[in-house]
Amino acid sequence: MLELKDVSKSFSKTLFRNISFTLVQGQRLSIMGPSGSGKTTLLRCICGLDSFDSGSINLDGENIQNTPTEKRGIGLIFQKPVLYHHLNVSGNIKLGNKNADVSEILELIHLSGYENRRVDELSGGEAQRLALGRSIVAEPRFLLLDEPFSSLDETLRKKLLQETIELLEHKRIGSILVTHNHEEAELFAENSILLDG
Amino acid sequence: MKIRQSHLIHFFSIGIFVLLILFPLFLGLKRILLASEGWSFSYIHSFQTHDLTSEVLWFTISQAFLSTILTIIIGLPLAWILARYQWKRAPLVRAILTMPFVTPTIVAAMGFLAIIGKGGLNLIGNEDYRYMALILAHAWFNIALIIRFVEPVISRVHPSMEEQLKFLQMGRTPYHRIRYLWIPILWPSILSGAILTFTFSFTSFAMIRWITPGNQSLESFMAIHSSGVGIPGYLTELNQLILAAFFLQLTILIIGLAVIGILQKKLSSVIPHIDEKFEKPKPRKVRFILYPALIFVVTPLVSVIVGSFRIQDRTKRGTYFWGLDGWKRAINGSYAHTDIIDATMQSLVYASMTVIFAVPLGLLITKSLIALEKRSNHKARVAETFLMLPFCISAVMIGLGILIGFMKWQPDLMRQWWIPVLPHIIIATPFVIRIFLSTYRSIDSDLIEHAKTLGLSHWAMFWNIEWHNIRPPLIVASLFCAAISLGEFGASWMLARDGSFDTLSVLIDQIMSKPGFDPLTYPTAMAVATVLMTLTLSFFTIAEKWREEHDGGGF
Repeated sequence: MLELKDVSKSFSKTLFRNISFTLVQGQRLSIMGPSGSGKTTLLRCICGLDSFDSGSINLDGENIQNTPTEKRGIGLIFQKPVLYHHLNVSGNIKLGNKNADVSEILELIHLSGYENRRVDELSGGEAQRLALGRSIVAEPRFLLLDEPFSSLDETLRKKLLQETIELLEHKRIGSILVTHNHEEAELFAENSILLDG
Repeated sequence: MKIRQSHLIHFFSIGIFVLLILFPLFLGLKRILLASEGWSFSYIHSFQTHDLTSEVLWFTISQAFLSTILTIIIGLPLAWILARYQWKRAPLVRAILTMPFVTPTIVAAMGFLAIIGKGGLNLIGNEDYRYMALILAHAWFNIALIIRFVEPVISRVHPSMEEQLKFLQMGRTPYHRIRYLWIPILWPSILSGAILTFTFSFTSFAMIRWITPGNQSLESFMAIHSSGVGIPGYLTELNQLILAAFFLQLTILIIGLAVIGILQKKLSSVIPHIDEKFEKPKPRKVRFILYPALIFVVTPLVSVIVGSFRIQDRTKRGTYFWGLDGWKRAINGSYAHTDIIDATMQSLVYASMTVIFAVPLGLLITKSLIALEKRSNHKARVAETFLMLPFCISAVMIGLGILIGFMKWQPDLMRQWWIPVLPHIIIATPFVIRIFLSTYRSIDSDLIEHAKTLGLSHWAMFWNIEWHNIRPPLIVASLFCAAISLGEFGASWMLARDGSFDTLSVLIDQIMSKPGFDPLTYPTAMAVATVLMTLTLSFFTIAEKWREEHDGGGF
């Protein structure tokens, strides 16, 4: 269970104040808000890339404020897919888990047959699918998605969102989606939080 | 201008430069081959066993290898700091760390001699310390190479690449992040810098001549014995040894250049192009690396200036006093063929001539390469490799070609004052090309295509689009060219040593070569070195300033 209690952060101005919510394994949550409202920063605080000023973040009842990012068991997908160009599709998947069954995960993310493809040959949607698949094989307990579909066209965005939901349900991974799109937020989760800056 | 006509001009400009490099080499080699009574691979075996040369190859390779390792050890942390952090004085630090690379090698040699000399640490009597000083001097000279190769690559790695890895199983420890991110991304640039460092240490002449005079490298062996070769029926064995040295050096250098070419291609495929700009943090706890590095870089330069005022007591050996006698002697010129004023004027004339010829030639060749790239990328790559030949054919090899190929063929040329300008043009032009290439490649092709649709002539397009973009790199290239010409030593030493057309770098060598004990030898040489260093670094500083303010192309 991921639990945020009164988490606040300021950086020359107040980014967010007293954010509290609880997320259980397999549950999904959307966070909405305009640009600059601190959505991304909140995600970075949850996964440990940034620090916060006050409050606490607990994972299964344990305060993880001082737990390094790599040991939290929380995954993050960036707005622009971060792929490693010195590795092919298969190599990128193996970074997530060296024992991963690459064919199986590629089938799940609809990239079957792409094992040896160079990552700079992938389209925007394919690249984001690969980033998602790679995060999934790392077996996080919670996955944070930072507007991962914002640069895609509407049709592809909806399709990819649906695929992501199915994948998260299939793997029973709790997740938080940051977006500024109401429709996307409602489609992704029943519960949502609005950050108004 | 008709397309066929423009193709001809492009072909001509590239061809004439390749000829300028290869023709003297070809003539020189032909004469040495004649004097060697033909070529045989057994010359290489003789080279390794002959009394005169048995140590040369081992010394050349071992010192170049150790210099490369030390350069990487010093250069990598500096490249990391400059790439990962941003602070107000970062451009100044970068410029200071680049200074050694543009410092004339003979000045660097003087700087290290001043440090280990009797007026300094007094280690000059020990061969091992001299060897260590040589390795340090090569590392000092080449730090900028490692920085210039590695820093841009580290800079282009977006922080999210490392952050993302922390969420993946194979990136959860610093070891894994080094293993799976940094090594795959950095090794091509580190290896490229290392190969070039090896090349420059391999072909080092002035530093080996003066810091470790008891040893010879392939380069210094060829330079020192150059006057006796190329005459049929005379010193046949020496001709064969020179030929073997030439062949060995050329082979190693060409392999090095070819590997760099392959690595550059590899490099472009491992680094993602990320448009998104990111803020770099301010440096923390880096002063323990940065300050010693800056002291290391500045000390030899300051030692040259200090050395020009330190005079050994004629009566009490080992004691020193401060004085202007070295400077006075440098100005009155009673110690050598020429005085400091004449040598400065001569150096500046050569530098101006080099700029006048190398910059337009480099510009024309760049335009030709860009035009060729549009038609055939493969052909452009081949041409570019040939044009970079002077990087792998050392100054001494170029000088040897001109000396043996031209001057012994036409002895009248010995008296032509412009002869030393030839190698300067050959050496400086590839730098000009590199500076212009990055500018031309960054010009928006839409602008040119739009101008064509408007019916603008070639000249109109040049003035309205290109000229605006190439003005800053034109100035940077001119200053860089002048600095290279001023500091050039190897070829100038071979071609201008009769006293008629001595440059500052040749003058330093002449003063230092004076036999017997003279307490004013060192200070006089250091005074000339100070003038040469000031001129070169002034040109470089203006070029750097211009580059910072106007983005004057890259090198």
